Amino acid sequence: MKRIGLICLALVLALGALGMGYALWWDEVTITGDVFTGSVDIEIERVSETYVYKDLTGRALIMSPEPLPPDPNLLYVASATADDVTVDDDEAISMTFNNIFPTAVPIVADVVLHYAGTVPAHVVYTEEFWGDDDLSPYLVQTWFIWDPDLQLWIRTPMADIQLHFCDLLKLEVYLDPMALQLAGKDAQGLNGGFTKTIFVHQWNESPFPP
Amino acid sequence: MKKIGLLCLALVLALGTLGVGYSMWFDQVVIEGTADTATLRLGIIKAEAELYQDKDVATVDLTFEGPIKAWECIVPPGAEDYAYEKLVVTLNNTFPCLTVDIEFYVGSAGTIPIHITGLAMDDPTGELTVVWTSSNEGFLYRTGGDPEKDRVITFYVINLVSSQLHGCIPDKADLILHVEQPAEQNHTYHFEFGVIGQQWAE
Repeated sequence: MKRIGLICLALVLALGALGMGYALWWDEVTITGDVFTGSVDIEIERVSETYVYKDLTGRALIMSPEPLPPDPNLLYVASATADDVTVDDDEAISMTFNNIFPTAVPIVADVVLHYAGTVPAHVVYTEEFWGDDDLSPYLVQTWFIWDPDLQLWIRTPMADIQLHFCDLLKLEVYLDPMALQLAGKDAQGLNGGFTKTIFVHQWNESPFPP
Repeated sequence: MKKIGLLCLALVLALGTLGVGYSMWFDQVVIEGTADTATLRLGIIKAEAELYQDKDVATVDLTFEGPIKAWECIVPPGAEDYAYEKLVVTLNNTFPCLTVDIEFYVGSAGTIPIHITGLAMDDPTGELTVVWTSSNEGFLYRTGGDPEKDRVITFYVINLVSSQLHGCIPDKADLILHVEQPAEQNHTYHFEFGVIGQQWAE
């Protein structure tokens, strides 16, 4: 019995020694993962406006990007204004076109949007018109992308706008009362409004919004 | 059957999750705009007539028609309460050599300045034909007749062309009519005189 006990002890010790040998003969690789997701983010960079005055002495039409100080020689006539009315993260612009009439150079308000997202985005928009008169035949919208190499705004068709990080997108808006006036319809005394929602969604998914 | 139901449920949940995922991957900017366009309206705001005759034979009536908007300016003194689109002048019991001076004020009854670019004279009945001899004077003669021998009324306009009107700044003009010898007795002549304006910057 004593002999059997000794044999068992020897076995245990032998197996232990084998285990130590095995433990020294291994290695491992650890993979640690950090996942940073991208973002789709459009921000309002700036807005610009147009103020129209009549020079009472020279009779000239004066356009200014900002309101001019009171001057008895200047008569305020019309304006296109844009205000950034963003609340929290809900980016919003309020545009007002006041007393618009046909001019050789349109009375424009514009907004420059900065694409701050890290995932490329595609731009689409919806719009609706409301108020006493339908302004849709008169509303002219032109899109531009800033070319940093040429240092120029390049006009771009709406259907093909894709934005990448730090791109600047400009939307010019103006009313063209001549549009229907040329067709013999009176564009005077119109009053109405519009709501335009510009969506950016990641570029490889469409259609959006669902 | 239970297995198929579970599969459908899983599919619906998966699609729902996908929708939530997509809907979060967008951003938006809302532009809300209001707009109104201007109005260009010329209005007559005051008129007086003076007859040049030795005896009080002829008379004149002035009537305003088509109120456009209230005229709230303090100029010119004695202006009507409204700017009107039409002034009707009726001359009664006129005779050859009578001269009438119709003094009238026009102002901007719209919301943008106006540049007066021209004058118009017409007889809508076609009885008289208009001849302009310069930019502000002319005459009316019997249609089909001789322009000189059948001249009925000669007219002159003083001021107005090239004027610019805005706000409370109206302009005064005179339409002077002279009844000529060929005018018929016991007859009514009708004419319409117009002032043409356009927005000042064109």
